[in-house]
Amino acid sequence: MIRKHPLAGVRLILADDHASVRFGFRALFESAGATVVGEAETGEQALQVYAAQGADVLVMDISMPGKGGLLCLEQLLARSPQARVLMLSALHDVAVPLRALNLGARGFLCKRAGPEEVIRAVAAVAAGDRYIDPELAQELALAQFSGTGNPTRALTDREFAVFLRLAAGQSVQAVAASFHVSPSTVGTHLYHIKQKLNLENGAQMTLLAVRSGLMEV
Amino acid sequence: MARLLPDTLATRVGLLLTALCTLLFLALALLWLSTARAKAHEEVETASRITRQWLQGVLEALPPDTARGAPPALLTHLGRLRANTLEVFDPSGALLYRSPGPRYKAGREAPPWFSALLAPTGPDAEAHTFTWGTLRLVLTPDVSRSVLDAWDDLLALLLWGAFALCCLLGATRWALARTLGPLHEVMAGLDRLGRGDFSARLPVYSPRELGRLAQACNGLAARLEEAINAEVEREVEEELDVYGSALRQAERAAIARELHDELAQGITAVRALAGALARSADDPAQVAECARHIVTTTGTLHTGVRSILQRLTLTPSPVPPSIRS
Repeated sequence: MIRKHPLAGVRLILADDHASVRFGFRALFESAGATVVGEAETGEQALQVYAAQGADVLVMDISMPGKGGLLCLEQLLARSPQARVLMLSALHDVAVPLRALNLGARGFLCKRAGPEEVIRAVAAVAAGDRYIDPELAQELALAQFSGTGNPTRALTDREFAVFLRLAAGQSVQAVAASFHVSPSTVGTHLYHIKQKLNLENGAQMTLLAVRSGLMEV
Repeated sequence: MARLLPDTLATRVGLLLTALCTLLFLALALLWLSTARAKAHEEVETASRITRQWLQGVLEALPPDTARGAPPALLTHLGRLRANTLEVFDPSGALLYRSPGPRYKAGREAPPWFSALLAPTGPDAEAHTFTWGTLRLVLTPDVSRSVLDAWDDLLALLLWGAFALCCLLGATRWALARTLGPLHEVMAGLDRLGRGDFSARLPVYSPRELGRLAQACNGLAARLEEAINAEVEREVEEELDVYGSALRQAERAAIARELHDELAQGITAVRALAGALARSADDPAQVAECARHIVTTTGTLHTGVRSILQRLTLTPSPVPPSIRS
């Protein structure tokens, strides 16, 4: 039996670059009793809205223009470690959920999930639990042993973080300043990233990030 | 010589022929030298023998009382003796008389080394002594004129020989350059082939060797041209295949992005709205709002599908200019 208001009292922020998706989710979550306190169409806006409004759960898409969902997740948790974030993705890929969960996301859900499942995911995250898309859960477990087809899986967490920033257009100096390391250290990470992903320049890096669903242009 | 003349095949062949002719000329010169030496010996032998016989007869014919310490007047009036020098000494060894020197080519002598080379040897070349009363007469063979004649002949021979060799070298080079003239066209054709112009062809010349060389070059150029054309065609086909494959891949990626942007997001929105509808059955205003957004979203989806279909059916695959050319 479906509970009438499973999200009663839950304050939400929606971050997605598609207005129709935001509206659909707003209608869905409000029908479940939640209150959508803010919306954002970029990662940077999500950070601003969260800092201004605060929320029980931030529902954020992985692929967004600008910094992208993963980079904003990392920055949000650096400022607010208690933040509960449910990441959404339109791509059915194992590598991205692994990265998101490693970064500290409380849950991960594919956008093709049914409405009731979306509500269950938000409710679980709002309650402080973790939630992983059931269709991805087994693949995530197997990926720990056999790897994935996503080339970014070969990167370490730090290399992946540098990859996301450089792909978003940040300079080596800016990345070094954000990590409080020397530019030569970032240069070493960049060298390893290019070697592992067989990349030659920043444009190819951005293209790979877009094709992997890590950001949108 | 190689520095003064261009290092060409004609020069080398000319120099080789000239060197062979020079050897032949030197062999002839040695033969001539042997003949000249024999001739000088014969001259000295003949002149000395006649002069000795004549002098012996004269001294025997002169009366003994004429020997009074002076050379016979007959001898002093004779003057120059052919190819000999006559000297008269008194009992104390003092020179009383010497026959005059030669007037033929007077004042000139052959080089000492040449004189030593041609000077005859043997009894006929030695001095002979005669006694007349108390006087001593010495008859010495003089070969200097014969040697000088031989020296002059040798100089003339060398001059003419050098002139003839120079003419031979020039004539050889000219004849070879004329004969091998087509080689320049062959070399020019090979240079064009070397620069990658495999359409170059050489005329076939009448000398058999040059004709075969030109035919071989033409055959080589033709095969190279065929091979390169085939290779170019193969590379173009491969490039077209790679380009077509990359184009198809890019189209697939574009379609995937379009599907993701236009369809997947819209479907997600519609599903969320449907979920909201299911939960808002008792709220007509919310139902109506959701229904309007579903219509709007599905309209956007329809537009996106139509756009993708148009791109798939109408957009021709462009061929890059580099391949077209």
